[in-house]
Amino acid sequence: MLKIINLHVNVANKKILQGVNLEINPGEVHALMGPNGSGKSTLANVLSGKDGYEIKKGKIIFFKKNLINFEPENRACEGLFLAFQYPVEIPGVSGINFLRTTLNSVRKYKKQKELDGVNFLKLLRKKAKIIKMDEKLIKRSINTGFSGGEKKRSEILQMILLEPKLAILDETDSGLDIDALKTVANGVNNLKNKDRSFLVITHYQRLLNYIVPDKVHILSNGKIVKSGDKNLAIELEKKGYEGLV
Amino acid sequence: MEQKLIKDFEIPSKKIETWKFTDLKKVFEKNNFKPYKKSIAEKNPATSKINSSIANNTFFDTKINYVIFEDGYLQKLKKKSNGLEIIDLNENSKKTLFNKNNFIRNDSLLDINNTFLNGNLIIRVKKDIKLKEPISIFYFNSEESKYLINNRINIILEENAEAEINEVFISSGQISYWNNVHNFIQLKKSSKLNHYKIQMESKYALHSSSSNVSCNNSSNYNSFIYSFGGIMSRIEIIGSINSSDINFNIKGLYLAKVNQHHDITTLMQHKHSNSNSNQHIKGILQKKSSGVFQGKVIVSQNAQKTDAFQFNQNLLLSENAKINTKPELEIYADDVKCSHGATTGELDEEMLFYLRSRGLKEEEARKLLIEGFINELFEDIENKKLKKKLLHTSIKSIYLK
Repeated sequence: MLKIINLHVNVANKKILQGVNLEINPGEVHALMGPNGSGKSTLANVLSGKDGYEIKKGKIIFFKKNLINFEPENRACEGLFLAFQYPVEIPGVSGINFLRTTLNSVRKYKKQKELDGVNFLKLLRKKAKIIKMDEKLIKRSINTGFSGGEKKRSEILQMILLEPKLAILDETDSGLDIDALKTVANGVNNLKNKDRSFLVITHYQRLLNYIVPDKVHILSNGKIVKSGDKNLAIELEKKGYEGLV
Repeated sequence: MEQKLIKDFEIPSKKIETWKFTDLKKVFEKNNFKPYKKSIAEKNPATSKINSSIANNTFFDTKINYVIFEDGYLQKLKKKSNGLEIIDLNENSKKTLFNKNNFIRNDSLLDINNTFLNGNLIIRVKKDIKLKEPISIFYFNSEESKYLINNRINIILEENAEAEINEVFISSGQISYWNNVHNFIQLKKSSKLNHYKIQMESKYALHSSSSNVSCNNSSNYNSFIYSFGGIMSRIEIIGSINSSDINFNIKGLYLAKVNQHHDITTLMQHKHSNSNSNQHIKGILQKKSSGVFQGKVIVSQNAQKTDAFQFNQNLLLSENAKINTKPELEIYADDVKCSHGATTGELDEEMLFYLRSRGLKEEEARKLLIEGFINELFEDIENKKLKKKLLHTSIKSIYLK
């Protein structure tokens, strides 16, 4: 599904990613861990197509297509989703309007029929229930005045609505209490199937108790220095990065 | 008495501090506008243009209470609501129902208005009357020979009265004129006025107008300014808070295209304690247009417990667009909550990326953000029908990259 080959990325002439190799197969959950500044968020942003990252070398192959030349919207339509670490607030743009526009935009790209207002609302209600998101919140302007937890929930709602092939969760667990964490994990697990994959970026092993990874990678100084199964995360929790890397 | 000529007046120019960013004189001299007179109007009787132009206007949505001025002269007056009085003072009556000392100006616009006055109205809503239907005032211009048109509206809301007044400025085509319109508004105890000013003048017109609002205790004034047309437009609100428990709200949007110049200038005078004022002015500027926001809040020494807020946000959609913003606070009381601020920029890159990362094309994302920018300002417009029309008109006119 996703194959990252020898990816080198600079930000403002500073080397951030220095030869990342990663392969994710359909149906797999990968966890990406690593100390602050190791390049985790950079990798997530580069995958989603954000500006300001200079790709010096390497390839990002997603279903046999090299993503590097794809606009962010086309990556989304191809089935890539990034749940942001810090989702922006967009005053004045109603959440419902946005969700419908975005879902129909993706459906149109996939040559599926666009949903009308009634059918969209039905679907939205069903999805909101999974992650216990208050409908009043969705009606408001996008993320405007949301608490940290509400913002993360709103990201997960978008994810389960768009049903991507690969979802990247960038520190979705940070700032969540244990109940919210379980709800978010529930949203992810609900979406899991044999074709869909996840890349979960996190600092803490805690989240991985609820979203169980098939593989765990440790990113350090812009490179994946160690990979293993879920036990690697447990080991990391005990020994810290210094003991492992 | 010798008759005064337009050349006897000093037209506002950059020489005056409050006109530093808006050189009205420049546009005036280029066009050499002449005062419009009754004798000309009588020679050119009302055309059929007026009915079709107004009936087709999207903002003409009431058939209950309305007034139509054509080139400054009253053409139609319809009033059905009980407790509402609309009196036509003809051009010979210079009568005003306001205390001039409340609204001292440092320019000649009011004197010009007074000297060359075409139409002058009194609108009065009686005590305890809460009008269900709005009052619409249409200023329709159709004369093609570069005239200066002067109108004045006096509005009085008696105790506990409520009303909505919509002023709409339109023209029969892309003609050149100067519309100089001034309102004097008196809100008595516990009255409430929602006042919409929709400026959609011809793209060659010069527009200068002011609302001079005097508030008594527990009254509520909600103003919404929509500045859209004209080659140059200056809209002023001068508020005088004379008592306590007054709510004074100003929302405004200037939407400038091509080479338009739009100016919204406000002056809030808090003269008494325990009242609040809120100003939120937004601008969207395209191509080579320019915008001005000047807002001054004066809180006098005895106006304790005043809450006064002022915020100006500008969206520049072109590198050649220009904005001058000058929010000012002058506070002489010590127990007050006041703040002001201004932002100017392009569409937010983070927001754009967020929307695109969800599958929206760049153009769609831009459109949604511009809509959001406007919508945020419109959110609490009470007249939902009007709100929808304003939003629609705004979006339609905006150049999307």
